[in-house]
Amino acid sequence: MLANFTLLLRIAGRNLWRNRGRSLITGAAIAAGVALCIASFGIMDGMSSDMVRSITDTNLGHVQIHAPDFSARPKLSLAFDQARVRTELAAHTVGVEAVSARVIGWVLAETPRQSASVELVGVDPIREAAVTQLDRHVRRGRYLPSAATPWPEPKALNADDRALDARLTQEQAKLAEAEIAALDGAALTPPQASGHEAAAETRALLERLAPDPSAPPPLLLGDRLAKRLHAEPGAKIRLRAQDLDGNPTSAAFRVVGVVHTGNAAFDANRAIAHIADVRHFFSLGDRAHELTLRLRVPSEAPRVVRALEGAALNRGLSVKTWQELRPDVVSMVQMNSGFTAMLVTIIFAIAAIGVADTILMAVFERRRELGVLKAVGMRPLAIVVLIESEAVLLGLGASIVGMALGLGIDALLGRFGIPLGGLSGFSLAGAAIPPVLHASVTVQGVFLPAVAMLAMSLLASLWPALIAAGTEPVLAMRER
Amino acid sequence: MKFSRVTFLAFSLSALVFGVGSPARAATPLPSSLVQRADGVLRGKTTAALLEMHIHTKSQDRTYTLSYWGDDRGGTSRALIKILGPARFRGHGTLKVGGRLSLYDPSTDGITVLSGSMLGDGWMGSHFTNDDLVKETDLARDYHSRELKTWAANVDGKPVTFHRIQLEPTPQAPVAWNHIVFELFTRDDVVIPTREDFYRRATDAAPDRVLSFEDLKQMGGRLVPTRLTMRPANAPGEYTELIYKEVRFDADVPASKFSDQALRR
Repeated sequence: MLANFTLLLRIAGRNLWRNRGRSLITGAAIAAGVALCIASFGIMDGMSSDMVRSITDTNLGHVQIHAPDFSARPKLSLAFDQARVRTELAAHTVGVEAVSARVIGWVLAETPRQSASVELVGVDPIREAAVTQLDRHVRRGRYLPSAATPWPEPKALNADDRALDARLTQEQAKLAEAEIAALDGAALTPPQASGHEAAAETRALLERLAPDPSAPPPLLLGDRLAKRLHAEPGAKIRLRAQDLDGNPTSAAFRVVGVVHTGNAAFDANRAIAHIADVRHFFSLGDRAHELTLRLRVPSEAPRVVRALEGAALNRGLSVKTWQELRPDVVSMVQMNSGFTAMLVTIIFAIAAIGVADTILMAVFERRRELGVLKAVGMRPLAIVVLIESEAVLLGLGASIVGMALGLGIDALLGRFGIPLGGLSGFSLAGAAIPPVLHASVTVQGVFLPAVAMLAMSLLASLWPALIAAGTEPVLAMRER
Repeated sequence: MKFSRVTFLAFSLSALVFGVGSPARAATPLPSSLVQRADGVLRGKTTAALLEMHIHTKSQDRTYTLSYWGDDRGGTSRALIKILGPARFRGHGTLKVGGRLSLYDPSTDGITVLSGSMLGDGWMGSHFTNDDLVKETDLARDYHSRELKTWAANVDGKPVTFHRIQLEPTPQAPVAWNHIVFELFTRDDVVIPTREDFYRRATDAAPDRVLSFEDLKQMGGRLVPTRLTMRPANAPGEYTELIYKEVRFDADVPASKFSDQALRR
């Protein structure tokens, strides 16, 4: 049986060799098809992973932990005790490379020329750089310093101060009362003299109750936000908001750097400062709104989520993968691979017609010979195997050449890329399309086209093989 | 002349729907006029008041002493609120001129102008929204009123008539509520509000927040409720009380009270 098979292979090889020119042309077509498929998979995989990285490596990380309602409606009050959650993470989870805690709140940013609504995010500079590589996106100026700004703790007033405060309030109320009574010009105008004194005393009390930071805390701005605010490194920006208790809070920050991530929502709205400074600003204590995890292997996100879910649910928190947080990007990646699959199918169909044609011609040319084989007792099945062997030999050889060719194209594209020119650097649904498309090589992207092409060759030659098997010996031998 | 027949039909139908009901209702006071009078019980052509605000939340208890100045005489209603104490908030102010709301922070000498969407946010950490304090919405103008129930009762030993009125916003009204149930009573010629239940959705069984009016006193020449309490449903036990210490209606409040200079002073 095995000897039979090797014999069949030898005959198949000789048959291919007999018409070298035709075999070479068909082989070249198959090889080119495989190479093109590998290259398109390479480009599409490269684009998808660049897009995904543009959101996971600038902001999202691979897994995030929030209070359940936070992603839908971010609110300052949805902060949780992050220290304990983080301890549990470190203790229980394999595959987590880095964790960054963040606090997030919307503030009004004012410069002498402009004001804008800004998403203020507090991060630990070192941990954040480990999770999102934010430090690599600084375009002008520098990254946040790792130490927080010294910010005196607020102190409660002592009994004397409280008495002073009550007296000041009473005086102010008296003044207002007198002013109300004096409406219509009925009485004398109320005295205004003590106003300045009260203001000075109030300022002294305020320095203890709500002290300012020792210096304006450093701040990073997204590049489009910086442009909107006309603020470059060195500029002072005043931020205003309501703190956790609903009290007005304000502080001056100093712009130290401008970042460009390519993520449009980030670049247009975000200001980033040290987490300790932002916690002081919002009176958030030790709490956080978001824990962002970077995993050693990004595709392990669902496993890590399952591992964390129990502990998180106990604390009333929700754990989500980046895919769950950004389904729009996931569907864009799927659309991308859908297009690739369509392209690859067309290439395959053309190659298959080529293979079928070659084999069919070979069968017609060898009718006499096939007739003789059948006459000396070769069974139809053996003839099918013979013809298929020719196709497999041709397909295999061509696929190997095509794989080598495809890998070469991928290597070139990975190195030099396809510049998108005028389209460069835009973003779709917040995921940046890179200015230069680079190919990325995946096992699937290389072997799938080769294997599929081989299978296609087998299938395409089935019809000629069946025709060959059905050869009528007497009729075939009578033909000239 | 088909067209004119159709027009005639439309006219008679609308007369039936809108016209015929009115004279019949005129015998008893219209719900909308009751609402208007109750809603304006603490507002004169001008209003000057000294108030205290107690805020009670899970995390804190605090009291503001406030002065309030309001002027509804011109086409645009104007209001100024200043915080007189304690020290942490002394000098903070809120100025409303028409739909424009400005907040003043004395520690930075900065004025922030709030946009419309921020009108619904809490004022200075209280359960009253910015809109509640400066009254941008007018219940009688922005809502349709429908009497739900009326009953007799005694208040302070005197017989009064209670009305429960459902308020539904007109299509153009810039309001956040699906409907409000307003409870008030009338005695002789005074109308006193007692309770407002604010509903976020039509299907809600319980109100989103409740404002109650208590402690009737003679003040500024009128009988007025002097303690207003707002209780949010989503934070049981929390409330904000607004207590009128002194109020004067219809005095000549100078226009300079509603300027940025007055806000800073």
